[in-house]
Amino acid sequence: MISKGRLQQSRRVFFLCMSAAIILTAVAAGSADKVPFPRPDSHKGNWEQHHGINAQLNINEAGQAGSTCLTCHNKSDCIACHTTRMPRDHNNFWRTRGHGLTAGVNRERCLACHRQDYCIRCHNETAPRSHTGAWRTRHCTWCHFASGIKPADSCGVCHKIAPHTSRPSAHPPIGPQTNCAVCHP
Amino acid sequence: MTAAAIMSFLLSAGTTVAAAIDQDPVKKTSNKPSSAGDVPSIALSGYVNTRYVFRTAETSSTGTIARDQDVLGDLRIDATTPRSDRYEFHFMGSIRKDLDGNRDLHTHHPLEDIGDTGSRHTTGYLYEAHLDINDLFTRVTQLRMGRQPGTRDEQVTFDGIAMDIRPASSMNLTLYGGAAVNFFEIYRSETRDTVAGAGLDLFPTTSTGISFDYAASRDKRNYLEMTDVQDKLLSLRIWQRFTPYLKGIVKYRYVNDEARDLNLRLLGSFPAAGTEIGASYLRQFNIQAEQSNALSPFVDVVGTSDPYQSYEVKLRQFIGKRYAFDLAYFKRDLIGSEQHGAFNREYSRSAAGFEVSDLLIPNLSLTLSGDQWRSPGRSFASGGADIGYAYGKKGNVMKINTGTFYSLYKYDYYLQFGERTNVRTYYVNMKVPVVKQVAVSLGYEYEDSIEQFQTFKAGIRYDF
Repeated sequence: MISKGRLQQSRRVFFLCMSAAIILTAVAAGSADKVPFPRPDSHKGNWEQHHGINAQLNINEAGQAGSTCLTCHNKSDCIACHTTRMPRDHNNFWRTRGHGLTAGVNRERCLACHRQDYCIRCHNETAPRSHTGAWRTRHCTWCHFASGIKPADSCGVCHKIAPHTSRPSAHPPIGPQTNCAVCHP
Repeated sequence: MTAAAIMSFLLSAGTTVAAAIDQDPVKKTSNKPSSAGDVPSIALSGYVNTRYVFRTAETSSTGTIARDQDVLGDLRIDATTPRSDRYEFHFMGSIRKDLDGNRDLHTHHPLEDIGDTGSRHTTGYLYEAHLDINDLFTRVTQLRMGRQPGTRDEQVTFDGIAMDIRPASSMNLTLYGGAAVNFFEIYRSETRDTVAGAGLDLFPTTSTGISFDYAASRDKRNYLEMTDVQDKLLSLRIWQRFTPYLKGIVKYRYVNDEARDLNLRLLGSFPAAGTEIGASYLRQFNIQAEQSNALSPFVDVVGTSDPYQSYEVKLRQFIGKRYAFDLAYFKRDLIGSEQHGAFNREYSRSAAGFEVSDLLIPNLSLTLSGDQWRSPGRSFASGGADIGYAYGKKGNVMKINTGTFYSLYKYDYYLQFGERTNVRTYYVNMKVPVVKQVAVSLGYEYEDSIEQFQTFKAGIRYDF
């Protein structure tokens, strides 16, 4: 019986050999010059940012061949670029906070590239900016500010069920002046 | 494919690329051979791209500096058989190794991102690895086997089989099915998802197309102990080409026997006038609750999606050969909802841009852009300038771009304490060909926002 570790090692060796073989074949076989003529004038300047209308206008419909784009591009060019290049506004502020502000007003835009598992993965396995320092003692008013009953919307992005949602009905109202640590040290 | 396997894949690719650099360029084949005998039996194209990214974040108040280093790689292979045009193989994969990131779930780190999630420092993503057989049987125009992106209504990557059948010259039928691939699911047990569907395309005339689509997806769930989700999506899509450069599209979709949305689009290009236009209208009819990963409007994260309608107009106008300007307007209105939620809001966006080619010298371009959006309690404004220069012939072009962006976010998590954040970004990027088919890229970016971020990138790419 082959051990799990040895099986994994065998797999690695197999994939290493396979990958080396594919690359060597690629170099040995030569490369196909896909585009036999210069780039069209329309592709000048900021084409990458504005190609959307032309792509939707000229890309072949399902089952139809011979569109303008496919004269030079492969079918998989779209996904190759869209999976490896980010829009210009996806900077560090976007990563930490801006994306949440935008998702609130236009979540449809996110669906162009992302699916829900992307959000869940990051929100489940990284801590937000607010969760630093004495967060445990500060989080009460952050979450319950103002209404005192309904938790703040941003908390619900990660915390679907708060451990203390079953607080007794006799709990005093929670507000900005409430000192939670008096009862909850 | 495991991450380690992909890593070894790219390492071997890098070794081979290095060897290729030292050699004379391989004789290239062309799509337009001088004679039939010149047609190669196998034609390969693609690229290997590796890059190193070093980032720092300095907090203004404390002066603390956080650092993060990552190595990323992409490999793409497109293989065809030009002589018979019978077989195709397409591969696209990425790998990422986090050299020193933070993986503590409970502490915030200013540089952590999706690459810092999970227990492993090395992550691989296999986007495509499928073998295609063309004209396998009469009327079966293509059979695709392996990991592939869906070609129908929803972009679902799956491991399985897809088949294009052409029962008549004006008809196409696509059948597909397999295990759905969701790249970022947390638990291994969640990955037993499936997707299957069929699409029928009819072409009554060469300018008209009608498509019917049916897709069924099953999403295994562990997150928050929710039950598995099963969805059925039906869609009807009609497109009409009024002139060679003017096209209209209507799409109506049902999900789980309930109307989901209507999408109208008009796309046009008028080369003589140098004008490109795009207009669209989208209406979501009902509240969208949780659905399978491929269809969900992020309900698990930002809650249910309320009914809305949105309008968008885009215009790109060329003036002569050197100038172009862009205008765009987008508006989103909630339907039948009196209250705005944190993630269901009305919204409007305006954007403008201006571009000059061959400014002062050939191939020097300048782009100016501005963007503004407003929503109750939130707004955003930005402006930027980019200067780019390209030099060289096809396949051997040196490019350099430098520019700056300024953004202002205004938002109120609580109405009493409105927040505003200024984001200033300066960058320079360059791509320099070192030998034929091999280019080195370098980039630096400075961002002054919540912290002072600096990013340095260095990469090498081999196109074959």
